[in-house]
Amino acid sequence: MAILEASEIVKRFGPVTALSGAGLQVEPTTIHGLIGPNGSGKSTLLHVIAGRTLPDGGRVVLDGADITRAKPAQRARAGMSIKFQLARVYHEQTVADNLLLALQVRDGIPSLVLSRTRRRHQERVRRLLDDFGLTHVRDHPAGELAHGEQQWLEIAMAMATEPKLLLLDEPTGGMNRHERERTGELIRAAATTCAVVIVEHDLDFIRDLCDRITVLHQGTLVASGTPVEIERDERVAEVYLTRV
Amino acid sequence: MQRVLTPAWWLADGGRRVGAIALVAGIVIAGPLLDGAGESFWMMALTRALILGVLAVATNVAWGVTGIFTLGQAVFFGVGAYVVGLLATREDVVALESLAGAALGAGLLCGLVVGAFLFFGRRRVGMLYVGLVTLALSYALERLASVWGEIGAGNGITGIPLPTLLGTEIEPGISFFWVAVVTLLVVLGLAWAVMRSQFGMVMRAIRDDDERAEFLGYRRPIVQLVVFAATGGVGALAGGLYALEEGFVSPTFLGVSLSTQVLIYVLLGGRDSLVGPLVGVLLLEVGGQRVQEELPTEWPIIVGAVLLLVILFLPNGLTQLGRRRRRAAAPRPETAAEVSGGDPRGE
Amino acid sequence: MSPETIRTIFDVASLTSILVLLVLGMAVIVGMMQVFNLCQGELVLLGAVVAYVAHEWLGSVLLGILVAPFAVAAFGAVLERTVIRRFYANAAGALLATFAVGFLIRAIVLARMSSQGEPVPAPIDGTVGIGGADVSAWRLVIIVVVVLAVAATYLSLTRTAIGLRVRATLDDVELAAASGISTRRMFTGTYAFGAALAGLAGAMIVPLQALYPSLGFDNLVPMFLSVMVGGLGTLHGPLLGAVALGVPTALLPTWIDSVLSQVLVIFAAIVFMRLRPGGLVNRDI
Repeated sequence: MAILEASEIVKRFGPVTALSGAGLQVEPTTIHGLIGPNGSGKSTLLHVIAGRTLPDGGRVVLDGADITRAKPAQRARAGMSIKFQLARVYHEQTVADNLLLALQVRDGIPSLVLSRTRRRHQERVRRLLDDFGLTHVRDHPAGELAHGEQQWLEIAMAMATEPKLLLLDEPTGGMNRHERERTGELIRAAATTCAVVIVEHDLDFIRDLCDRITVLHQGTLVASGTPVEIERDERVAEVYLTRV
Repeated sequence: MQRVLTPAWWLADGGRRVGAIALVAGIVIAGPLLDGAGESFWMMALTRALILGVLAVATNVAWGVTGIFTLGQAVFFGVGAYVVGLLATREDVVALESLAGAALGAGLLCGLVVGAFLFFGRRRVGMLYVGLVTLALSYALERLASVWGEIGAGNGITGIPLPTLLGTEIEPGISFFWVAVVTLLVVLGLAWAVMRSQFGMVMRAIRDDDERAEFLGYRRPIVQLVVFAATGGVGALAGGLYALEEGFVSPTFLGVSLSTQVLIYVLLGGRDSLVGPLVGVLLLEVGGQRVQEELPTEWPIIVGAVLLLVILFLPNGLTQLGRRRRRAAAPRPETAAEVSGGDPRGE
Repeated sequence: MSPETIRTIFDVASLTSILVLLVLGMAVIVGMMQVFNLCQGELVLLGAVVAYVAHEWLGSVLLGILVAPFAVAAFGAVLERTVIRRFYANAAGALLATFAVGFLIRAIVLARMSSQGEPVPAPIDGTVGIGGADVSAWRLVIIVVVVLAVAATYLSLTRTAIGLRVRATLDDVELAAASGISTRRMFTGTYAFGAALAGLAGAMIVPLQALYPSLGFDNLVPMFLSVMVGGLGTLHGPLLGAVALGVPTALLPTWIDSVLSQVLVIFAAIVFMRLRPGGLVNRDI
């Protein structure tokens, strides 16, 4: 059974139709690439899935539960995590505190006021720091981190609560080759426990990393399949050729 | 908590911790000293300042820490004052415990109602909307109170007697000073604990990027509502004490002028700083008294000019002076071994 | 129509036109530039001060009314260059900084006069008869001036070359700069224009009340509510908002207490903004 099923999604912005019946089906513990030329609607579809915008039609189902109109916090509590396109971490708080913020989300307000769960999350913070190579900066304000490190911190925050689905919006934007490779490793490690959806421009990165790829064009689904199938698909080639 | 006992903890952050403790200790000692010297005028000025300090500290928790841009905090202050004034003069309630509880409860209730209206619902409201609505409420309620005959209209409520505490009558002067100091210390202690708690992290997260916090799974409206109601309750408590101290309530207690005055305390002293707002209050209400005697017309101009300069050049307030730039102060170590010594800023 | 009805209509028109006049400058600065200008009331106050000074020194309020827009525009230009400019990317900062500027101006005016106020006579006294009702001549003049000022503002922004450049700048700064428009000057000029309109408003209305330090600040909340109820991003939105607030505020006192009606209108505006954050003119926000 699919962990995420977005079907027949329609989204209009005034006179512009961004999505007309696009969909996405993601299996558990797979890495799913969502690609398409500029204006194809891939970012809008991601935002609909994440709950940043509400669709005008269609359904989004996460692990059997309809979340089409759920608020972002409800989606997060249902097991969905997102890393935004531009890293959005809390610059003034330390790296460790950023992770603690992600971890303590389900703790009640009284125990947060009394700081009763900090110790309980300590071990998990340490492991995340270790897994994401951030131990050496754990007590630094996140704003001081290099661009790549901030992106990794945000992925670590998204992974903190062991989500069922991780949404990544252009995770390698502005990264050098070395950082891209490292990001790929981190995503692969994440995919051992949850499904991952990646929106990316960098097709080489997607091809090597993804188990499945969905291609959008002008707000509709063009093709969905394994990277090999997608490479051979004529309609996909057409979409990308007409762009040039 | 063991670190609290080491000298390093006290001297961290440019000695600001020591400064804060010294300030609070100075306030506590100042009352009896002024009383002993027969300076009852100054002791009363200090008492008033401390009560306004309670309001300022609460406002800072809502605005400076959580980012709820409340421009009408006087609403709570005024509601607390009216509740206490009415209970004391019409219902003959004299016990400070009951009066303070009623003020706190009324403020909490107002905060819950206004906060539910502001923060819940599918359409999220911008920070500026919150600012405008709270300002407009302050404006509207002052006008309403000034024509509402039942609560004394423009004259407000006068002749509020001094309350009793645990059955004994509170004397004017030093004993009311102690009431104000204890209230302030309790509020400061609570604010200190909350600001450095895990909940404090959530409050700042919502201030700095509320959308990110929601996508992490935090229910923003609930956090904002809790903070707004709690700080509203404390604001109302301050208003209630002020009414008892002055012996009267006037519609201006609700108004825009006091609302913006609180804004000035917080801006001058420093947002997201525990004692910053208190510094602002003391500078204006006690330090200012002195200058005002010499230069009654120039004083507001001095306040305005200093305020503008602070906003332009010290956006985090006067208590920012002396705080080292963190970026410069903490060079990034290259290896994990170098930081194994532990958190340099303390736990 | 009975003289009573005419009187009521005139009073509503007069109070609404005064609010529109007060909001006009704000429509430019807050509505179009989207600078949250808490010192708008003090720009109005400065216009009133100019009228007062002209009356005291030169014996002519009319001269003051003519000079006020230019004087306040000059002040606005200086203010934009020194303070406002720093906060275009920081709405909260702009709000706090302009609050401080307003506080400072009020303090300076307060230092020079009593808070009770100094009367300023209208250039034209007396009443005019309309359909058997006697109405204040100066209020009638204000209505006419408001209509003219709104029309002139609208035309200068939509029909002149400089208005086109202003709108281009506010629409997309980078594109405008790339097209060779001096965007810095446009921002200064637009702010000064909004200040000039505020100055005109202050000088026109001061004869109806008196000059006192919180002349503008007392009107700030209705002014800001008008802008937000109308909607940001346009000139006409805030003016519609002023009408939407002004008419009920002026009409309700026929039946209920005037302060109560003002309070009711404010509450209604707050609820309206909550349900429709885009205001009257913007459907989706």
